[in-house]
Amino acid sequence: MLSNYYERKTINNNMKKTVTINLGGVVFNIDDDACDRLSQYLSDLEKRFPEEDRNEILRDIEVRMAELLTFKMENRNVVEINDVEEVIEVIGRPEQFDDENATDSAENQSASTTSTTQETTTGKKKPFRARKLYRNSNDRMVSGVASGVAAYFDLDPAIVRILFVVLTLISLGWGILIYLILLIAMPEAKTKAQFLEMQGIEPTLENIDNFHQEPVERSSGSNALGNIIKICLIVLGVIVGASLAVGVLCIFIAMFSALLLHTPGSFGNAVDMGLLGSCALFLLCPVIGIAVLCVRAANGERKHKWVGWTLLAVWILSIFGIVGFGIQEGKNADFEERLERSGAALEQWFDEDDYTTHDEYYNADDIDRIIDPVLDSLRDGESTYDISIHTNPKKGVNVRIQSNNKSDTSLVEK
Amino acid sequence: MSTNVNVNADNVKSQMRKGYLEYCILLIISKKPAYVSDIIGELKEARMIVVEGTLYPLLTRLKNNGILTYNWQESVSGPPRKYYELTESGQTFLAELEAGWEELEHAIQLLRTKNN
Repeated sequence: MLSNYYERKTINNNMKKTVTINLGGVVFNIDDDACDRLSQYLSDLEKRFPEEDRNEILRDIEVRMAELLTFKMENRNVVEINDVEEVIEVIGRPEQFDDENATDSAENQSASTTSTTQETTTGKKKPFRARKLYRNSNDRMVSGVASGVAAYFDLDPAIVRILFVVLTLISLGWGILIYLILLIAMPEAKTKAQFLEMQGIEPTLENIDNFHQEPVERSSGSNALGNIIKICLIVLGVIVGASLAVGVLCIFIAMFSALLLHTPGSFGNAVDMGLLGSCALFLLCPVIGIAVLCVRAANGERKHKWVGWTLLAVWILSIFGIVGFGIQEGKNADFEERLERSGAALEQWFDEDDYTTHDEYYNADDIDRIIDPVLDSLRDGESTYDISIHTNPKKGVNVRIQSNNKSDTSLVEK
Repeated sequence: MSTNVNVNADNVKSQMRKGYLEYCILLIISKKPAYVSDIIGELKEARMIVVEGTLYPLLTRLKNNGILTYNWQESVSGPPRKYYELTESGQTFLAELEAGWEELEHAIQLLRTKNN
């Protein structure tokens, strides 16, 4: 036998590993590939037998295969793949079992065969509680969150995607926040076992072996449903983009005119501009984002990833901007309001007492420091002030205050 | 169309064979306790089965239904073998099948010869 082995080696230059197996109680030396074929065959058969009888039937078949192999092995001692194939032909290929087992008419027969093969290839699906939530990177538009959620609830990923978009629109961008939370919370399915867990299939060795999932090619999507969804997304994208753009424009115009009407002459103030800009970015970013998402979903492209992240960063910055500039604006408004009140009070006082004066004056930047003590003093009558008020339609109310008993003189201008 | 007829004929023929496969197995076993490869040999000779594998689920089912039983017998070469034999209820079952077959045979015979 050794000579035979060397002979094979020199002729075929095909040295094979052999393994020792116990088949139906008989020991065989078998080539590695033949062993794989044999175990593949047995596990294929196993699925076709009723569960309670499975072990017994398989044991009988193994004994019979051992018998056939022993018969064939007469003067050799390594089982090769051809031997295994021949024995399989005798016992029957798995699909022949399906034919022989089916007992109904031709139609039912074909139907039952397909259904059994389907069951065996997909494995048993578990209820979704047993599933695990993973991002499905094999079928993704952005990051696989939607298709992961879809797998969890056994839905079509397109439905989940559309729901996300609709939710985002209804909730004015909160859907995006939910998406981001899910993105962070959901791990990406990387191993075959994780992909199976995602679909609720028990990750047994056999199932893992049968599992072949190729990344979904979106750019070449040619099926009708895909096209319908694409068209819907594009239409949705255009409608959403256009209506949001119009809405944002209206808000813009409203804000501009309000600012212009409210404080004439003060437009051009950095704070006002900042607040306006922040508001604009806050509203524009989701619009651009949704438009980009719709286009992406329709095209199935995932290029320019940075667009999304940039939009997100700008959007977050705009929130800070609104808060920051808003506080500043509030302070200014407060200041202006108090100045107005003081001015009115002074004007009234001036009218009553017919009191005029003028002197050198300084620009005031703090109403608390200037007007309030002035008014308090005026009311108390402790100090004497020289005050003049001019109303200028362009510049507003001009108030001049001079203190007689203090060294500083102030001007408050509104 | 003709291929369709052929497929149908083959299908019907295989259905008929299948229907009486159990009867054939019981016939073989009723003569003397039989080892699987004996059963297979006879069935193949009678062209009742194409592949051996289908026999095993059938034998297991018959055994679980109490029609067959088996005992282990040492063999000269290899592991011990299962020798199947009929149980008592198996005997009655076989008798019923036998009667059924005779009825069928009679019916067919009757129909075939009636018009001639």
